[in-house]
Amino acid sequence: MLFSSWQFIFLFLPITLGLFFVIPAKWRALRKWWLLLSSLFFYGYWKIEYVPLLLFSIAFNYAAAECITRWRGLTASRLMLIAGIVTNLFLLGYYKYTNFILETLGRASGRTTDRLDIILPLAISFFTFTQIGYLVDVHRDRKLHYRLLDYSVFVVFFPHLIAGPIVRHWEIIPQFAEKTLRVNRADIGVGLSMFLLGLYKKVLLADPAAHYADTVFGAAESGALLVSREAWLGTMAYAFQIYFDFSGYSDMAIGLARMFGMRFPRNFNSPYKAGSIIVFWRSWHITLTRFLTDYVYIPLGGNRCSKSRHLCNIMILMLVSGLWHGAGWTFVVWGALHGIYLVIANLWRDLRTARGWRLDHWSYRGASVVLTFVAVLFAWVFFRANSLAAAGSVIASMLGAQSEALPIPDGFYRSGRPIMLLLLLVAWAMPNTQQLLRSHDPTIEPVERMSRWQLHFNVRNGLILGGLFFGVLASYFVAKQSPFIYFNF
Amino acid sequence: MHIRWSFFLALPVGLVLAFGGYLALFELHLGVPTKQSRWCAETIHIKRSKAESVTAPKLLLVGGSSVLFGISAEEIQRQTGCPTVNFGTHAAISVAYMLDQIRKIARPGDVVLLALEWELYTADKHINMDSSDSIFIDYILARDPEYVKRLPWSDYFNLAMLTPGERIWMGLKGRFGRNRAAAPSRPQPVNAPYKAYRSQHISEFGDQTGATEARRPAVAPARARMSEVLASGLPESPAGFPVIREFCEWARSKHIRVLATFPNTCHRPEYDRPEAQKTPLRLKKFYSKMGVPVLGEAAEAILPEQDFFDTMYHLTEEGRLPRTSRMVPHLIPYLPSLPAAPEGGWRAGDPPAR
Repeated sequence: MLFSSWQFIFLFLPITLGLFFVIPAKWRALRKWWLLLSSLFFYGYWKIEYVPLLLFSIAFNYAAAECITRWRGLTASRLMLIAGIVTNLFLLGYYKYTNFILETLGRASGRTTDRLDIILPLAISFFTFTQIGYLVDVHRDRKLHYRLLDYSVFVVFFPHLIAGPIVRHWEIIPQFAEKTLRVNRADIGVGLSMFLLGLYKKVLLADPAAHYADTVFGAAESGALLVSREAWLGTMAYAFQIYFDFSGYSDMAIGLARMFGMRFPRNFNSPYKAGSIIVFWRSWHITLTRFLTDYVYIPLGGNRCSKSRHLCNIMILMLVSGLWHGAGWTFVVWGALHGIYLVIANLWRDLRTARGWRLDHWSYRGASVVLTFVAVLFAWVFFRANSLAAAGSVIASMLGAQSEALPIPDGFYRSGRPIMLLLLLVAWAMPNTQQLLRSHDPTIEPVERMSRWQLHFNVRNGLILGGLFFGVLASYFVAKQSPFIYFNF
Repeated sequence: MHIRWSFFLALPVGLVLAFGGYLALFELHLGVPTKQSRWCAETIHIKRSKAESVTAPKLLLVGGSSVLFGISAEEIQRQTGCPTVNFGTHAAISVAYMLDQIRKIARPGDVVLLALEWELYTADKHINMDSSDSIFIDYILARDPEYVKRLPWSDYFNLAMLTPGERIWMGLKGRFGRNRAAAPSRPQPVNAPYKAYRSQHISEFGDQTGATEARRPAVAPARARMSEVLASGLPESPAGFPVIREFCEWARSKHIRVLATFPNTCHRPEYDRPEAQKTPLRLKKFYSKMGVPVLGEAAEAILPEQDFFDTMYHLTEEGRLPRTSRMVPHLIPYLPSLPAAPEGGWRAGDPPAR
């Protein structure tokens, strides 16, 4: 069920929230049961066959965590941790990477291999990572213990289940235990506003951009040679599509959780305003970066090792990130490109520090933002294209290397250019959702950057937010609903 | 932190205001002529004018382009003496709209021959908002706002919501910007390439003319396209049936005779299979239940490929006359009694007095 679908907005959410309201606050267990059941329904609505897999994963990880705790001090505890991680990765690997591995092996041996009929279970990357994190934390802090009901609700709570944010047990489960797990008008107001802003990002900004991205990449995938400006337009369109789609989804998830009286961690912080690729990764899919830093980068030694090892760790981190996003060489290249960007950015930072350069003039900062954005754009080409050949074709067109290219007809560039400029303006000049709602503490972390624009809960803003919802209703008539991009991961 | 109830109340109010504003813009953009709708408007105007000018009982031929290209009103009138108007237009025009036009011009004593394309039996009642209907939708938005306003509420709502923003913007620019109304048709030079949808090819009988061997385009592969409805059968409840049934009931109440026949269709091997007999049989049953005679058999309307030129429904000029002549004997028993025809038949523009 999509957050933007009418089934979710007009049926699932009102019923789930309404019954949550109706159950007295003192019956917390019943409320949690209700959240658990409704979340399982939400998950099973897509494909009920995979609900047992989700339940097995929860039961297995909870039991593994119990064993790790009970066998404290014994080798068995460590073995259990390894067995738990391996089992999780095996499940993820089977569903997500089997065909990729078979195809790669087949290509290497020069034989054709048939794809296995494996359907990737929705959200498996998200709930697997969430639970691996839990196992590792239990092994590190053996006093950690939660009830099965709390743990299950933590894993399946529908706002984050499908596409994150990747939440951590210590920031979510204590909120279930608090007496304040009750709905109130302020939480509903803040949550609803955040949900609506995310919905508008998805429907009014991301989906229109998708048309341009799909046209350009579709043409490249069918072997057409693109004109340079159209390749740039399509790549920019995809950059805005994925940003507004995923940050919109994250806003909706954070808003939904807030309606139930809970706070989620922040997942985006205006990444396209970043002046370096290091800042970009602190602002893009923050919870994934945080997870990979804690459970991959730091165990590898992080930056507390030799410089070459540090840079190598960065490359490994980004390759894992690429593979996590998708089973394909295009994702590996995307991760490797970002790894190279990060290595260069680290070396540049070291050079600046060593030479004592203070580069804080506005022109330097502006150029840094543009350079970072362009670098990210080139990497998105590999993320979006369905083959390295198609990605190469788009990149060649962007660099003007395809001299015999033909334009895509029907005023494609003319109609797309103003839309891209508008989206660029929104991404660069507008405050983000957290900044708009800063005074209402929308996320667990405080919002650092102040914005002059604040969303006040007055009649005028209510009229604007309600009026924009008409655009969402209209989209139900015009377009087939497009799923969120991160549902694929 | 305190949030007033007024904020929550403002949300639905904002939605209602936005919806109201949108509907106002939608209404304002109606009735601004577009270039795309010009052919339909001029064609329907010619046909209506001709039909309204005939005071005697007349025969109206109704359908999409298979009637427009494939049945000669002039030839029927010549052979039978009954004033005849070809009201065939385009299969993209909805059946509901076609029949709505006929309600405006048919008088007691008239005969209406329905030769609807197979797909029209499965089309939605009033408006089908998929892309194949874009010609029709553009036409009613630009040229017949009264029809839009008379649509059932649900169809009106669908149309308003599904009309692209660019279309509304174009209409508003036409209304409030500089004069952007479509220019009148210019006559084509005699040797110009033949373009099917030009109103100057419509004769005073409403027939499409000029698709001669010398002028029509080279044969298009589309002429051999298969009609899924004919090859595979109609759905359980064809969406087009109710509106046709309503029309037949209306016609009976007005003493207007309704006849039906099958559309001229380019032959395909699939049509020789037993399952392809289901649709004609189903249509015969449907019409006979309402007391509407069905003229001829489907096989008479399924014609060889060489009789068609650019689509599966467009007969050539050479194919049209024999097809019409074969239909006339089926028609005669249902036409009003005729005086003896002069030698060589009735001439065009010379309908007999009744």
